[in-house]
Amino acid sequence: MNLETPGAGQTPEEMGVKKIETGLNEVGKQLEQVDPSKMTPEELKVLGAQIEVIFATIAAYAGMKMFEFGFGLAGGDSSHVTGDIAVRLGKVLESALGIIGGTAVVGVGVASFCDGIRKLVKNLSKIQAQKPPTSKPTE
Amino acid sequence: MTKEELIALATKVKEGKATAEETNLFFKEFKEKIDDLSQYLSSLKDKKI
Repeated sequence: MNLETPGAGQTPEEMGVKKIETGLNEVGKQLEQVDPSKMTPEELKVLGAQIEVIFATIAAYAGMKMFEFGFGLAGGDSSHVTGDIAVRLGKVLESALGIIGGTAVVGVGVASFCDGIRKLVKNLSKIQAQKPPTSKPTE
Repeated sequence: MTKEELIALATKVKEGKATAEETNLFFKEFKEKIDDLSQYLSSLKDKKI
């Protein structure tokens, strides 16, 4: 097989990007259907780890640093993703929020994926809102 | 392929330093990670909205 001979006038990279965008688009739709309030901490941890790999890879491929965009989800702020629940996903959510600012760099599949993440974050914030305030730990 | 290896390969592709074979490997491995997530999400049947 000659890997350097692209099909249909596309380069191997263009074909690869298309496959990734299609996959991300589908996963984005799945993410929008997930209700984190029904998930166990362990399930959230597994989900977070898998999302982290994908975001880190997108960031590397797009030439972006994971945290250079900071927080900023659709004009929101970071306050709704702090707390016990969000900590379970920790830096994954931070990465998710940060990278949304760069979605146009890669394509529509990434935008869809980010939509799914955005929905997940929103649902996580709902859980947090339902939790009673916790007292600060004493030392 | 580990997360670190995948990221390193992604960077190489981004920088135009990857061979065609490495480029194909990157997209294959990345797609597998996406498929893994998709399968995991599918397994969460009773965790849907």
